[in-house]
Amino acid sequence: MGASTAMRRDDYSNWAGLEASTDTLPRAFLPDSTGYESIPYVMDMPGWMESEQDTGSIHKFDRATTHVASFPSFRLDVRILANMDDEAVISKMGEEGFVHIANRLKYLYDVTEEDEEAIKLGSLRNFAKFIMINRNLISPQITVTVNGLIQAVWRQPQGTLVMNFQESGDIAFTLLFGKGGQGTRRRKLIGELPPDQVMQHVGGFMSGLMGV
Amino acid sequence: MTAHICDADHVARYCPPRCVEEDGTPAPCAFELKARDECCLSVSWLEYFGGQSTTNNVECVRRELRQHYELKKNGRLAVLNIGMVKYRIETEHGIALYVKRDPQQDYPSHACISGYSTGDEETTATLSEMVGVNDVYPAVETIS
Repeated sequence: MGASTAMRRDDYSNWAGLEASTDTLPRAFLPDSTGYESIPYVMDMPGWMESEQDTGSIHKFDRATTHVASFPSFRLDVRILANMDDEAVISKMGEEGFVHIANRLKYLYDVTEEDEEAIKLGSLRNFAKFIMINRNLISPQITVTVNGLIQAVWRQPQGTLVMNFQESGDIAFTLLFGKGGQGTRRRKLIGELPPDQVMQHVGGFMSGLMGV
Repeated sequence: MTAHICDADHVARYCPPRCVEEDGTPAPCAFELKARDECCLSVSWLEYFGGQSTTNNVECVRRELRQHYELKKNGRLAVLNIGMVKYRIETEHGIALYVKRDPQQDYPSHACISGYSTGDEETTATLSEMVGVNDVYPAVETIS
């Protein structure tokens, strides 16, 4: 199709790195500024096939612009989280559109008792980074472990995924496949890995957690 | 005096607010063992109180727990059947849990779920799955 030949990646490489996919849908890649080198953020933007003119500007493709505009800081460099305190991290999440998650985190801080382990800032930062990079995921249930780590849980018919965000940056994950209570041994995947490697292992499960 | 508890009986686990998910059910972290727990997840044996209903027994648990620490209004008491807990963890993960009485001063209904260790996320995730919205009670009863 003409649409796929009209775009060249180098026209946009200074912005977000767009390229035409084989099925004529453009894919936008965030520049890798996070260290998640093997897992770029990918978003398919349907409905741009009308334009065949290469103008060197994303604004030519109206529907694509509209789709991208739904993310306030499409070029957010999550490295800025590294220097933020907990309030700033939560505030940033709210600014980036994760209002529900930000409110939940505020609540968790509010209900943490003096005799409980404080929420670890490193864990919060790593959780925020993960959510912002994987922003298409539906919101998990968010709680705090006895050691003060952020715990995220996704429950689906195809299984339960638990992630504990370590201060080191790694994620301790447990994926229980299927539905429990069936009277049989539960298939599972358990590990502690850097986030990009976790996604490689649980990507199939995660693909069912993508929001609209 | 310690003794195993009948599989038909139930235990209640206090879940502090930050371990309670938004629908009121406990997250896996509600069943995590702390290093100081010595492999005993503290629970309350409901049938100890001999009440006519789970609700009555839960109220007794509240009264007993309040003697030891402050229950928070957003906390929950999660009720589990002992036999089902043992069956599911054994069947799904090959881990043999046991539940035994461990009465303490001013805490006669105290019991322990034992058989798993700190960092055992498969067990805590499964225990979390086992508690539905109908199996949780407010830690603090509100007067309507």
